[in-house]
Amino acid sequence: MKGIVIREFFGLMKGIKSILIILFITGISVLSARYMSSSSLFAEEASNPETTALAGLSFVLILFGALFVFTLSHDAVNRDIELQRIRLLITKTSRTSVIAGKFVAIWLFWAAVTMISFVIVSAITRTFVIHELLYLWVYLAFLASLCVLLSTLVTHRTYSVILSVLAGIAMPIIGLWSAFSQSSPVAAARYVLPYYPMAEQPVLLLVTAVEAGLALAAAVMLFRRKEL
Amino acid sequence: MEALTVHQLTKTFKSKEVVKQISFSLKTGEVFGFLGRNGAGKSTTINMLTGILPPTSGTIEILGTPYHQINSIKRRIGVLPDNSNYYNDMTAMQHMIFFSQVKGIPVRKDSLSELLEAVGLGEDMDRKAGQFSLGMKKKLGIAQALIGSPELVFLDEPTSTLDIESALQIRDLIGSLASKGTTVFMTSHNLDEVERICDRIAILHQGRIEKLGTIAELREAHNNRFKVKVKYRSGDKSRETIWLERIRQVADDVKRSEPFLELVVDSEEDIPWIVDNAVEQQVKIFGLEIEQPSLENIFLEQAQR
Repeated sequence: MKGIVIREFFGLMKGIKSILIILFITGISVLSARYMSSSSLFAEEASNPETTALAGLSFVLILFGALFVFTLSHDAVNRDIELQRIRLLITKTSRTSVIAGKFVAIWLFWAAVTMISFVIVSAITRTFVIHELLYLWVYLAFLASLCVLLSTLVTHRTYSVILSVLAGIAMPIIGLWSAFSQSSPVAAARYVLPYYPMAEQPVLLLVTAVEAGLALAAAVMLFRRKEL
Repeated sequence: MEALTVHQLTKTFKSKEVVKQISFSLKTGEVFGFLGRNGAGKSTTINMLTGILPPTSGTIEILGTPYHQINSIKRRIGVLPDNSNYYNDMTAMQHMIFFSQVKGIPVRKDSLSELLEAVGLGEDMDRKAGQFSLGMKKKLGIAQALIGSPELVFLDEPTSTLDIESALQIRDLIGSLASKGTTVFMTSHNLDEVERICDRIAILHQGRIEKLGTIAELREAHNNRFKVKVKYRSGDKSRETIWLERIRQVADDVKRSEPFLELVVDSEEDIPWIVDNAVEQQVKIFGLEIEQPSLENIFLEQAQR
């Protein structure tokens, strides 16, 4: 598994994409933190610097996290199937290790990206709110597991990229709609998607963590049955 | 000790049975050749044996371990799958390191270099696989299959796409593996190569093993007769006739078209007897060609059925 994690992690890290993502997330986080601390609109929140410090980072990832994670890693598994490299992996290690390695690498990449942003924002705002970062990591684990499941389920990359964009746009819309609406037809989705826990009820992130585990288990089961 | 035991192995795709209840076993240190025409089921079999495809039915035991525990012995086996591809952005050496890590084997660069040199990629180990020819990718495939000195190696068409010199190098490498006690299961279309390297051979036809044994056993089973072609000249027709009559006592299919005589004998011992009789009847022999059934003959006969 170690080799797969290293290969996948550095595959995501190298190149201009990761630098742009880090710059984008950090930039928005810093700007929004500064804006919230100075704007009268957020006077209440501004009285608590711990709230404003990572609000920007959470905000960016809640809105764009699914889109970023899905579009960047939608082909984590099916790329190796399509390019006929998967047989070289599954003849050396278990299929579970392949899926677990892909998941860990995607999650580690996003954990590293958020960590970098967190350190920069914390340095600027002079606050250190570790639990916010942990919430983000649970949320990102959920997205990474869905991404691996999608990539295992959809064999062709052309289809997985379309689905990843659609899911990346639809998920936050449905998630936030359900989180802030009591009577909407999608209200029940607040207990399935991680947006309500992220915005209102962090304790429900335990459910999100369980869901991530289930999605990963489903990906492993699917991959084990796949004829490669 | 058996390195691999296969019993009643079957693979069905939808309703089509591609591999039909095949059974065989490999002894430790043996080189086993698996032959068959395209679509005979060779790659499907090797894919089942290496955990790429799940069998529909039957049992497999690899290095004394039941198939359902195959993950526990993947470090002890090496596989060159068919149609495998590589990471274009990684060098040959980076591939070797990566595959060592995936296999969970400690990375020793010197031994990985040795493997790359053994397959003829010594000078190209720092080149990216994206720049490799098909033959070079095949060599990389063989090198990666040998990472960690596996006890059992599966090679699917190891010398296809290789030039003659490289193919000979790989042939020698397979020979040296066997001499070190490594068991090799290989498929190939190169019958001459299989005949030279393999201790035993199985011929697969339409998903079934039609022939299985050593080359000598297959020849025996194939009706191991000798085709003899004699170039001769005789000054005396009556003596020539006597000679031919004597030949017909021991040979079949005697065909004469001067200066050649073609015939088939059961035993090698009949050949000097024919020559002695020629001398006795003052028939001059200018040339003698003896042909035994080759693996190609056996294979072609099987394929034509």
